[in-house]
Amino acid sequence: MSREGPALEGLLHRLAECPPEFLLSPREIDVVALVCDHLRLLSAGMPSAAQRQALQAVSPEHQRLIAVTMWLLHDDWFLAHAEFAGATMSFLQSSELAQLSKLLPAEVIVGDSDRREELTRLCLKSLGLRPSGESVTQAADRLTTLDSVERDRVIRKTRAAEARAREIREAMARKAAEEAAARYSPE
Amino acid sequence: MHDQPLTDADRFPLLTDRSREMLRRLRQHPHAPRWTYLCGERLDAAGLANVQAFTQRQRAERRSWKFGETPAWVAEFIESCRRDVPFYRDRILPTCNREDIRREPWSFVPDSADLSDLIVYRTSGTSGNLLHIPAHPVAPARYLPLFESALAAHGVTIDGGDRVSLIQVAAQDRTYTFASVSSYLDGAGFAKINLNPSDWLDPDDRSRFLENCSPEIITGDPFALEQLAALPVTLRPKGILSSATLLLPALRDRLSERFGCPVIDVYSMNETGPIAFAHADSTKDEHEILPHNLFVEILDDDGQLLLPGQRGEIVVTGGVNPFLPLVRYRTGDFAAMTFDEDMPRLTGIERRWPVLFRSADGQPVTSISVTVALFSIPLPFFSLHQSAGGTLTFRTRCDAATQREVTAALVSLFGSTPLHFEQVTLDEAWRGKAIQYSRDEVTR
Repeated sequence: MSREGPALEGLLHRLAECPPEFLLSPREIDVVALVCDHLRLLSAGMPSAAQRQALQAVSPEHQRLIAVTMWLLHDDWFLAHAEFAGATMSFLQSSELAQLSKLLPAEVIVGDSDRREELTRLCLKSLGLRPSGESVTQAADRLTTLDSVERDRVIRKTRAAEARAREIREAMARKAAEEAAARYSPE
Repeated sequence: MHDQPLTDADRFPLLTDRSREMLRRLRQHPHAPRWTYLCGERLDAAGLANVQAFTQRQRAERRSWKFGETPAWVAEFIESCRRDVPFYRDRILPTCNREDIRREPWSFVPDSADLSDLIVYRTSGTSGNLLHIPAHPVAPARYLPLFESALAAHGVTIDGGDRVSLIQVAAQDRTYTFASVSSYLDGAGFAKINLNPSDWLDPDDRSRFLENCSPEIITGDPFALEQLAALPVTLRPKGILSSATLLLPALRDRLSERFGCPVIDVYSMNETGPIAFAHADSTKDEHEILPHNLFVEILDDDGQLLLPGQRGEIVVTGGVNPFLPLVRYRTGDFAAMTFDEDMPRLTGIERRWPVLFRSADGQPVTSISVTVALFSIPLPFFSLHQSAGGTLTFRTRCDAATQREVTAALVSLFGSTPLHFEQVTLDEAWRGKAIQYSRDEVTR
């Protein structure tokens, strides 16, 4: 996030107005073609056959999020900065985007203001950018606050800890009624 | 997981033909008490290997450290607790205490613990609050190598094998009694018996049983050991281990003379296992730290480390029980520490919160000074209470000459403070340990 990017508000507004076609199932739109069109506009090199196959191989929800991201990056600021083409390709196939697509459907990301901001900030961070007017710390803090993947990890951890505590409590209740092991001295 | 009652296969996973015969011999002994309980060691092959490895470390590793130093293993132990034990995760706690275990005992069980190994001890102690202690079967078995260490300091070894190695004597109204064997001691027999005559078909069977078993080692609390000494029994154990309540040196020496062996006071708690032991010939009130894997500190109320010689709460890290790893556990007991020759020792252990009494002229008298004044008097147990008006009530069970000695000792401390001497009945004495020191006006 070392470099200052575009203003956040414009990007959030753009994402809120994502056309419904971009939310269609990958069976109904060609997500790989959307990516190729974007790179062509940037005058960047076309994805290799292997890269195209890799894009097609990701899950349908991930592909839908790629389509939404393509809409977001069609903003004038990005179209004027062709140097981010490589980082864009990396982000589209990243585990961050894959994880997010597992937790939230594309409609929620477009329809909810916090999730719009999360995707936008995640995208900027992956391109090494921070919103215009923000410090690196402010940008990092805000993304941490919004981080769905991290929140999900914490919730899962908490649930696992609760389940384990319940398991031990039940085992202790059962075993308290049972003989323990011989002790050799009084206490 | 056991929803069915345990069988001997569960109690003794490592039973051999010889230890099975030992178990049968104890259970069916013609002079045995009426056994009130079935209980075994619960130790499987992995558990036995664990205890044997613990023994190797206990023999090989230093039990000493200098004041201000922390043994090398402590940092790693605390780090593993932070990683693996819910209670210590995501928080910085200066100390923990009995109330933490009472409130959420499950949070001390490591994530890596296999719950099929879990056993649970229930204890009320002297404070009355019932505690459920999660434990691994290796925890009680690890007492044996610690006892061996304390005995080795007196030139005594436990041979084990085809004999009865240990008998725990109790002297209580009612308590669990059982026969067992120890795979760690190569199948040797162990029995817990109650000297209460009502536990036996014939009161003389107590002596017959004990003499026939002829245990290598006897364990018990001071009152039970005193009751044992009063029996017309001819026993020559190699050593006696006293625990649970304070063993006054005069009683220790009397027991030692009676049985012709060293009598070692072991300071031990359910939560921690054995902490320290007193040398049988020591004239000082000091206990040497016993386990190689227990770090002991003396802290004040705010958790600050106190200097050698300063009295404060005994706080421990480590312990014998893998299912109750303790990091800076406040024992609720008080002492000072010394570090002569780099050997950490607890001096003047008080097994409860200290009490501040007042003498006739209003001077403070600490409970530890009462203990010291009674050192040379062979009392099996006692309690001292001071009423709001100042009157002292001393409760014990002793002969007239001993009572005169106690009275003289108390007068030297308290001057003309009214003293009521109460001889408790034997029945009452058998009901269990008394609160040692108390007063109506709590000073803190």
